[in-house]
Amino acid sequence: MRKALVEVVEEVIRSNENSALLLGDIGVYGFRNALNDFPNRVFNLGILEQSMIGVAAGLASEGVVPIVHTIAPFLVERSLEQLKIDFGYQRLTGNFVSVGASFDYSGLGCTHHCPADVNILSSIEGFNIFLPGSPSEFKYLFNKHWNNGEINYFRLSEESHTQSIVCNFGEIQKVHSGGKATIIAVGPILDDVLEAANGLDVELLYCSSISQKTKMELEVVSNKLIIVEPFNSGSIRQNLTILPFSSNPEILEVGVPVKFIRNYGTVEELKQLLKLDVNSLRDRIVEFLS
Amino acid sequence: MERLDTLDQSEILELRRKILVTATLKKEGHIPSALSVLDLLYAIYVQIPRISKYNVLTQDSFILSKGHASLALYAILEHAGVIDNSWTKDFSDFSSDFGGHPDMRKIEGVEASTGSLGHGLPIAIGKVLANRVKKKDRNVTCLVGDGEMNEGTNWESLLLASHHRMSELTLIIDQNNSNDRALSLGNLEAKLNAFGFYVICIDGHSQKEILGALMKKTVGLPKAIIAKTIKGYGISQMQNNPAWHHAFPTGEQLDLMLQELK
Repeated sequence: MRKALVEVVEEVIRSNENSALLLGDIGVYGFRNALNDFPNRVFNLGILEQSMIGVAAGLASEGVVPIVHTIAPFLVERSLEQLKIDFGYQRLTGNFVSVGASFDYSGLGCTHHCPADVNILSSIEGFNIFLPGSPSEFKYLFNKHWNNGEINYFRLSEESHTQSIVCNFGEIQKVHSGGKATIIAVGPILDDVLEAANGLDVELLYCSSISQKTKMELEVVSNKLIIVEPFNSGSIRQNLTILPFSSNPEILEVGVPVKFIRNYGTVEELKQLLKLDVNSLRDRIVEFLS
Repeated sequence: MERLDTLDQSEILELRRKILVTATLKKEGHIPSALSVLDLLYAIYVQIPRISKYNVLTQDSFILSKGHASLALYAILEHAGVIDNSWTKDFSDFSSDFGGHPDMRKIEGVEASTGSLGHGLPIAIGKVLANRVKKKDRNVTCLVGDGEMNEGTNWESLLLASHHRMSELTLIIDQNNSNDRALSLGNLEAKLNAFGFYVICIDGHSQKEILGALMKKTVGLPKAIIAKTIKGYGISQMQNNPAWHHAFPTGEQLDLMLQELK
């Protein structure tokens, strides 16, 4: 998705004089052309994430739409008060694009993990959260929303699914039908869930965003609902209106547990550790269905 | 410090009384902090438009980063004709637009919703960058407290302002030393010089010195004005007395204080 990020943001910068890009010393090589061509609107600001968000707010307050990019924990957790006050409270327009997701930097350890970002930002009024599952979906969502006058968080991941599906903001799309349970896969984990549910009689749905303004309506096909999200669980569940209202399905939320992941290794190894790999997902789904 | 003011101080004294009475009536606000910065705000909002014949409020930007001095900002905005006097009646009430910290979405002339310290200066730097994008010839002034200078974002922002040669930026530090009990800034002038600022040290209660510093132009360097002030200025029992930071006088005390402000 990083390649898509450079392509889509560079095009926005080139074609919109009221846009600006702030880098936290991340993605500098990728954006070398934009840095060179637009020295008044594209900055490698340095390693000062809190101030970078404040600077972005200053730009936004004067009508320049900022795009801020760095690694997820530094963008969201280190700068949380600036996101909350400078953008949320002041109701300014901004775009925040993170890389690293929950544990893409698996070999670098906990300091670079950020499984909590979605829940954290869901708690701030006004944040639109985009969880693109593929480069093409990210390009589509970014082009459509970067200048919407709102606060947008785009969570990029090294992982992506291979489906051609593109989900609009606040939508759920059906991937395939089934009868014994409904499974929602969120963003890049779709391929893993598809493989894990292969041959099972389940309805598979997909979503890639969280809108605070509109809850996603979900009509369950049975009394069992499974939500698979590649970050700390909770935000998707809170954003659902489950239909029919009389239904009270048993819900299994599969996500990254709230714990420090003290191991290193590969992303796949950490997924196995957390029972988020395909085999573990299938085992958890089958056990829940039984 | 020698006083060279030729200004008739009656206007500022009236504003001091208004701040004191309003806060006492509503039992909210930070009176000593407001009195510490009042002369600085008066120069920015009242004196400079009077002298330079243009209106700072529309041409330039000002951010009161130490938002707890909001009483002074409201008094000055009223005096400058930006808001009416309703703030003195409903300050900090449930439905009021005027709280203990200013809200940019409620009050005309307020350019940032401050209160949490260390937010104003990064925003000011963003405004300078935006003005450059939009090719606007505007100055941006940000007033911070010296205690607020404990915050890391301010020091990050000093680096940014210097690196980007922001001669459009004026940082005013309200140096009333109230936070020295926790973490003294040491030789602030030397530190700001080392960070690449053009530094001017003044008496923050002297209109002449404030105006001289504000009007000073720099080339390629951001400007820092270290304004030496007294917290609670003008009220002897309140001056530099931390007990009054967020406290309010009794009726008897108020009468004595108002006598002193005549």
